[in-house]
Amino acid sequence: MILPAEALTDDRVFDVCIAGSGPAGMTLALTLAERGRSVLLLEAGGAEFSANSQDFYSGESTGDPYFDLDVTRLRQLGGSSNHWGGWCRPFDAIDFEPKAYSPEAHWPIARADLDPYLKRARAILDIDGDFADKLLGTGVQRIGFGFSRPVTRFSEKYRETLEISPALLVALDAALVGVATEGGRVTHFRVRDSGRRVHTVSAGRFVLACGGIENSRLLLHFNAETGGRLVPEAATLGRYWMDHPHFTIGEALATSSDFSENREFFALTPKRMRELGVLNCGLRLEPLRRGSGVRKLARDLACAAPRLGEWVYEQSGRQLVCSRVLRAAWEQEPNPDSRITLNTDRRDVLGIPLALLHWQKTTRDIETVRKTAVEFGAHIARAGQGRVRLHDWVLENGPWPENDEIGGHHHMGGTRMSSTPERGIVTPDLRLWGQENMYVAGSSVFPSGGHANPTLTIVQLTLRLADHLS
Amino acid sequence: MTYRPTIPAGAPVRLGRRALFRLTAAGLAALSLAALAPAAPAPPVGGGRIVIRDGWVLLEEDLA
Repeated sequence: MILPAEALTDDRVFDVCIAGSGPAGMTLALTLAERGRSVLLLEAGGAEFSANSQDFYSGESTGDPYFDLDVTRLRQLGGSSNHWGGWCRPFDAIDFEPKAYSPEAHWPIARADLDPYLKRARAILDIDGDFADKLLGTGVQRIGFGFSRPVTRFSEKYRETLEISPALLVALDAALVGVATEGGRVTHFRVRDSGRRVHTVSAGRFVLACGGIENSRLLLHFNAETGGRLVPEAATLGRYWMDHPHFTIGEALATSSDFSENREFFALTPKRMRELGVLNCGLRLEPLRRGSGVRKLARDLACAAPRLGEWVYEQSGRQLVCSRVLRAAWEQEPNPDSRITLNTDRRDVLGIPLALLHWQKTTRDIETVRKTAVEFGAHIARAGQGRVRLHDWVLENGPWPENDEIGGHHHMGGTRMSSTPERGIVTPDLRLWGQENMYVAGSSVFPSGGHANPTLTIVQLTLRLADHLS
Repeated sequence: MTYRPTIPAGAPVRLGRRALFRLTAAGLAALSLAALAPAAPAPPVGGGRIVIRDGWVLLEEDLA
């Protein structure tokens, strides 16, 4: 049943109360309700987009240029799935594993802990594609992505289920404004409706699933309000915030017979990543948008290698050579100085400080893309499949371009999963270290980000949480 | 992939994978690259040393 928050009554005790109805919150709510648990799903926004609701997501950012915080996410039923692009790929095993050269880039669980949830997550997200990888040569592999088609909008696909599920109550315009804790247990959420009335919501267990920026903002605020009792070890709260840097890094002249007209994906093998001391980086070869570009590239190549360039130039008329743009999206090194804090000078209408994002990439981030791209270019050359040209900033360690894709709108970290409370905010089971019965879901718990788009992993991780809470 | 029908007999019309950088000198001549063919070897394949020039990731042999 879907109701406005005004309909909430203070006397009912739910098995589980979940704040946030995006891919994490809604997956959890539907799964638990299907298993007979009584669930209250709180959505701070309404059923549809509204500018007023988006205003709560305003904020400022410093450090590396980033998107406006009220544009990069959506505050409405279904959350940011309403503008999701649908790209999917499971994280690689190496993403979870320790790396001596980047000590924070690992998880306290393994990929094998999420694999059992892949099939169900694929069904939830309507993913086609088989994620198949193919080794191309020493150190380089072609990798597979899947796509949600049609892109799963949680509010549309699951609307009817939300309406008819007997165990599930969805409250709209239900803004979480407080968390009460006593003796290491959360006793209730305080929820404000659109008429400014505050309701007390009781449940056996509570879950925060408000997104990769909002989870940090709300926990920082509620922790301050409770005098540090909600998150007693808060040194990492809001820190290690990440996105996947997305940039155009060069072009390629490639043999037409070796590459298709479609977008193709490549990455280094885990062994080669370790040898080079780099994190995970996905490369995309895509057709150039304006014309073939072959002749211009061939002329440029002729400047560097005259005979080779002229030869390719002559071949271009015979369609033996194609041109491609080379793009990359890759893993950002977990960085404690890349973080969400509270801007106490600017508050939303509920009195909660707005988010202040300081996004900061590191030297290793540019080294990762440079070494990966050179390795890929070397593979293409040695295999006789073409030549790759990289942009100056890639080869010269910056400066980062400001007019590019920048990031993937993949908000990760801030409430990272850890094996000890000193190193993170939630346990490997996603429970707040300081509370017996409150959990955090979504990509804010990612300790590191791999290079794959996060939604599939969010849903896998949420299904694992559902097992834990069942 | 399409090929122009004017390519004379004997030219590598079924080039297959990686053909571009494996054309023989004879193939180059047949493709009307006479001006280049005598002096320009087929672009090399194999495990040459990598050199970066003007942003291009090249084999050392490319610069010969």
